[in-house]
Amino acid sequence: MAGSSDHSHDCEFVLQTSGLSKRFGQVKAISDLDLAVRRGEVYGFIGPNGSGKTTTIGMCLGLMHPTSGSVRVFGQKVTPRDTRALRGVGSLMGTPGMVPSMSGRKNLRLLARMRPEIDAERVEEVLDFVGLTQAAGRRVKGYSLGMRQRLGLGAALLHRPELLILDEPTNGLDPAGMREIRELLRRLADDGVTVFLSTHLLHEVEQVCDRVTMLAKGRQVAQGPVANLLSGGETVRVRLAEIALAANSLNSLSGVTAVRPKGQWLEIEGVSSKTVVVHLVRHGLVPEEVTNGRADLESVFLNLTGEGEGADIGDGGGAQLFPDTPVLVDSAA
Amino acid sequence: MFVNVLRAQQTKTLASGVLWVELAALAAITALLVTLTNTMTELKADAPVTLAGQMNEMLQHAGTSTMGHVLAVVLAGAVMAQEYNWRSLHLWLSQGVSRTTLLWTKLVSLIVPVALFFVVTAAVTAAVAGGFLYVEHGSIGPVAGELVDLLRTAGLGAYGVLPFAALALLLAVTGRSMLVAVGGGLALTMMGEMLFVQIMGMIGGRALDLVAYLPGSLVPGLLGMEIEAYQPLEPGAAAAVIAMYTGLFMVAATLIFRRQDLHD
Repeated sequence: MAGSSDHSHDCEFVLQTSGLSKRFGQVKAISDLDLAVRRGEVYGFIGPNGSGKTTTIGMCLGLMHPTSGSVRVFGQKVTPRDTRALRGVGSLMGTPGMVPSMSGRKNLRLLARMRPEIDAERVEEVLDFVGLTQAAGRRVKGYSLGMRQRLGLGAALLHRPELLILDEPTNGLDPAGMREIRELLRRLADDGVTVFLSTHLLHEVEQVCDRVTMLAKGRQVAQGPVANLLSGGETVRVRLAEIALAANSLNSLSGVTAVRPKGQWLEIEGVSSKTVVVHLVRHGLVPEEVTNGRADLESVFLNLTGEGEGADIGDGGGAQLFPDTPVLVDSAA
Repeated sequence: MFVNVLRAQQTKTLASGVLWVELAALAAITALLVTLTNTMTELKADAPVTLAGQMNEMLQHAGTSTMGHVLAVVLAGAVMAQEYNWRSLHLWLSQGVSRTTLLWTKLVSLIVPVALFFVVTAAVTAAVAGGFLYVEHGSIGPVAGELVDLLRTAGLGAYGVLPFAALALLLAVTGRSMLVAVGGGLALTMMGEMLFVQIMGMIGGRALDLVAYLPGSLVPGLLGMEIEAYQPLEPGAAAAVIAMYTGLFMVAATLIFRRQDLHD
């Protein structure tokens, strides 16, 4: 899939931002964002709506001027005045910019006119790849949102990019369509395409991404491999009679980031179930039942941003959630 | 890159619905004007009795009257503003096309549609006037020998329309909306120039010479026409001023476009 570009991109990081910031008047949309996306990985960029994901992507694609900081693609600086490095990039940002009165096929052919190396066969191949062969002759104004997203993805793939930057690509898709896109992204990654995926659907990231950056209110709150984030977010549930006593005792245990009483149960985060049991027994408290719940990315994210119900991230902020993992956390968040 | 982007822009501009509506309207208006010229006694008295003469008159009319200017403003303003609405600008720019290339190819891609205005004018005039002349005189007069003159009139007329296309692009980039681009362009073209001419007429004397430098007054100079109200510029000077206006509007549009943040 990848590799037909005439760029010689040998650098390890295909997309990098350094101290990237964007201000709209008094509003600071993005603050000191440092990203480093490695070649061949599927990189998740997650955050709630309004957290600054699209603004960041706008700057990465040379559509917006950073207030400070820089963007590098394949090692080359990208600014709105110099976007040459983007010729090896495919992107989908919001609703794809197609000509509504033209058919899907004609829209792709129009884009292909800009690149002589793309032939009619490639257009058909891409239409087939995104599942639009049947509807390719219809005008885009009659397409559903999901079909437009697929066409946008097709446009992004047309020139066999080495880096794919996608902003909410599953918007408007039904669950089956979402799954298809996820599978498609993994297939692209297997073919060597680097994928930078922005989304607020954490479930999506958990399933396809190798590493993630979490964004909240324009600030980077965590960055690292998905597996590390999830293992750091393990939740231990203990049922016992002396809830209050046990909660007090566990709060003093090193590594514990949150202790939440829930009825007859206590939920403990930050340490393993074995550590909890040993600690309780040492203090004369015998658990009647212990379960070990692996946190999903959503609960990790909510804990980090303090947006979850009953979230308790302690004095050290999100950092304490991942004490043993090589995760970069912005302590100012 | 410029040529490749131009090819894509040309395809897009020629597929624009606005262009085909304009061409249809132009054909209808031309047919009406030619019919009136050949049927109304007062107009008929001054009308040329050859097809070439009538075609030349209609081509001059398309280039010098507000009709050609309005068509250029509407087309350029609409196609550029639509790029913002459809977000196709985002798509193209994010594929590494430079903003300067995008804007200038847009202007160049408008040359063929503007030329089509004159082709349609010539074709409709030929069909309608040819019919009337043949019925009345049994001949349409010599055309082949007049072809160079007709092409010259059409070519210079099309060239004279360029500042209006550039102005509409500037307004579209500044306002990012069809209303600003088309509305503002039409207001400046139809009312702004007229107001300026009236004010200069009231002042009189040397002030009236300035009228010859208005974008709308340049094509008569280019075609070497005689105008009662003012003294048109010499053809060379008129051509230079047309290039200057086009360049100025495009440079201003480019500077604004390069500074813009393109977000939803």
